[in-house]
Amino acid sequence: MSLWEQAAQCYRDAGAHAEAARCYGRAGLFRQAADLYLEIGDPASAVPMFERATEQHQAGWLLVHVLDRPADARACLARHTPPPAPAPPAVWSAPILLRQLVEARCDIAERARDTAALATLLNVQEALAGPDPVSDVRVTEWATSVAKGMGRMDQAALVHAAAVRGRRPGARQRFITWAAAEFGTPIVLPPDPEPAVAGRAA
Amino acid sequence: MTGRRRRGNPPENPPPARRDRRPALDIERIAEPARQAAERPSPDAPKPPPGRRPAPVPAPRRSEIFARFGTASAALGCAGRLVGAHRDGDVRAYTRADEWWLHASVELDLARSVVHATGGTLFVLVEGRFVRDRGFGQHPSAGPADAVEPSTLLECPLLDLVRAAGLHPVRSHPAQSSTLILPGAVTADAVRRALDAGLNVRHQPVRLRPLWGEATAASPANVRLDLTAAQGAIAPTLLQAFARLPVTLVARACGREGNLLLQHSRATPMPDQHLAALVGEDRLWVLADAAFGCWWLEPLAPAEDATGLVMTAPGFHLRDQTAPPARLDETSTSPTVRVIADPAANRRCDALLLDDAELGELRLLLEGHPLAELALIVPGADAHLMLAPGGLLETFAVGRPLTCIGPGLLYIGRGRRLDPDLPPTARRRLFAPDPGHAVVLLGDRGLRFRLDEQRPVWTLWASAGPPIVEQLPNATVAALRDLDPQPQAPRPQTPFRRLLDRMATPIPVEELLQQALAAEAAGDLPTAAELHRRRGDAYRAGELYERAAERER
Repeated sequence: MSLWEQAAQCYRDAGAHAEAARCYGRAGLFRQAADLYLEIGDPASAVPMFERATEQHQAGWLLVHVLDRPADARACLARHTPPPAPAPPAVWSAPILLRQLVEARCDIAERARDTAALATLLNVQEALAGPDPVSDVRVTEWATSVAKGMGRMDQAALVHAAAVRGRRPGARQRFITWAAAEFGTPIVLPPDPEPAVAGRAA
Repeated sequence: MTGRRRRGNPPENPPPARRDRRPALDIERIAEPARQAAERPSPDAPKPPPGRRPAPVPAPRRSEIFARFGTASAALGCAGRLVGAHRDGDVRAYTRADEWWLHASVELDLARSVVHATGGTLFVLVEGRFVRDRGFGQHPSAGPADAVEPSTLLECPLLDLVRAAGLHPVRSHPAQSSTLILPGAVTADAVRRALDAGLNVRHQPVRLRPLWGEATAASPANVRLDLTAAQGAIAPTLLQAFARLPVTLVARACGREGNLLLQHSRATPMPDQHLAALVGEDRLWVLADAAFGCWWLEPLAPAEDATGLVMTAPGFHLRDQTAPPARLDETSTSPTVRVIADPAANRRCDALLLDDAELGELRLLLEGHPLAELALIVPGADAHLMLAPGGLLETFAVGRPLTCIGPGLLYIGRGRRLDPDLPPTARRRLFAPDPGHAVVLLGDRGLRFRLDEQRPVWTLWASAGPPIVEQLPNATVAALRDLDPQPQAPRPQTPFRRLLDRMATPIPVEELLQQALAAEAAGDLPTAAELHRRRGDAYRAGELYERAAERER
């Protein structure tokens, strides 16, 4: 364990999270540093840590969704990820969808037309309902936030419903919790027709 | 373009003046038509016939007036206005009991307005007696009952009136020039300050003699400085600063010849120029408040430019640059490590450097403070070092904060750094910090403290407690005496036993602190950090780990 990491642990034990995050950053543990910055409510300091931890999607999402800096979010994506392919991929994956969701959120923040954002939500629903390897929970959460930013609660419900149809782990509970938080009423989902596929639960 | 003419631009071809026709609105003077005609003779105007001349303006009739005042200030104010109205007139002052009188020969209506405006009572000389004026109408004739005998008045010079009236504060106006009268001891500073402000300065040695009293009693020689701003006015704050110098007068020169020096932001009831007219041509008055006094000013030498009073730095001399330069080896000096200010460097507060006076204030700051448990004081000859294992990590209002830059306990002022920056090896070789000493680098010197002299900081205000008397029941004491002393059987000292003993007895906190400080002084910061962590002070341990990581960099 390096001296920086030991210093960070000591600071963390002492409750000095800002100093601990700084030392984690010096130790090269950028993800821990970013999480600590988020814990103490300093997303602006967390963004460069996420970037250095190659979590450019998370950095971009923080920039546009929390800090309301869509131009910086687009620049962050352009710096660290290759430009998206013009044709849709054969298989949807979480990084592709996360990038599209950040760009859709940027469109909403810049008050652009929501055509592209709607297309992104449709892609998310297709990926969640299908057998594609999209196990990252952030896809559902960010898609719901994008739909809410557009004022399209129907699309948010469709995203949750797609995740339930695709038997994503925890999707049913997230749907129920979301509906209770947004509308104040519990919803009743039909029971699963068949047990979840073991491979998708991973 | 229309035919309308722009405002402000003169017409290229002004219309010819019409002499045969009067304009619709013409402004003419209505006073002194004869004088107007004489001043502006018109070639077209009809000349008066040679036999008729304009009637001469009758000269206003002057009356011998006397004015009575209750205060010298009012009398002096009235005298100033009478002198201003009639520069050729003669105003005399008289006194009677507590009254002040003025005599002048002026027009009656002017005298009425001036005397009444200044709160006086007007009398007119009628048949050898002063008859009180009614305030309006014709010249008073026969004397009424309240007439005053002229023989009861005693003449006094106007200077006595000035002395009795005194000076009163007035709002000072920005002036381009000012005059200082000051002792020689503070002259150089004042000249340097004035030159720094871009003023022209002339100095003149003078002697002051009392304006009232014996003329032989003179003050020591003083210096008169005349300050002149090349542009604009002298800053009022600069004049206020000069006025705070010891025994210094800031004055303004009044009168056409500048023969009256009146204190800055002070004035008499008489206007300055009229007061200056009272001063003789070869005299120079200085009028100031009671703190400086009123004086005749006697120049001892002509005024000269004061630039020569500014001294150059010691050892400054002109060097001939045309001579062949010396060899570089001779002229260049070996670079010296300096301590320079750098606000971004060394922001941590690890120790405090205190003097004797600040030691007494530590109790006020640290009594009841958690740092009193940790902090140590290392006394020195004229400076004392307060440090704590792992650093104070807090700034205080007393002392000079220091940052530990290592190796060991090598301190530098907070917000300062070495120039040039030195690696730890060079710092160790130059400043020789060792585990038994702490070294503090100041701007001009270094201080070395013996760590053996350290003691807890709380001993500054609590050196000893009351005597403690053991309280046991008498029976217990007697029973203990009756016991035979049993020699303690020595335990076998095997390595395993020693390990067990060490694990069974926890290290006291004080010893942990001492070990941590010793490790820190030896430069073993990770060990010191681990000791602090064992002591339960994770934050201080983190600080030490961070310092260790910084030094590894």
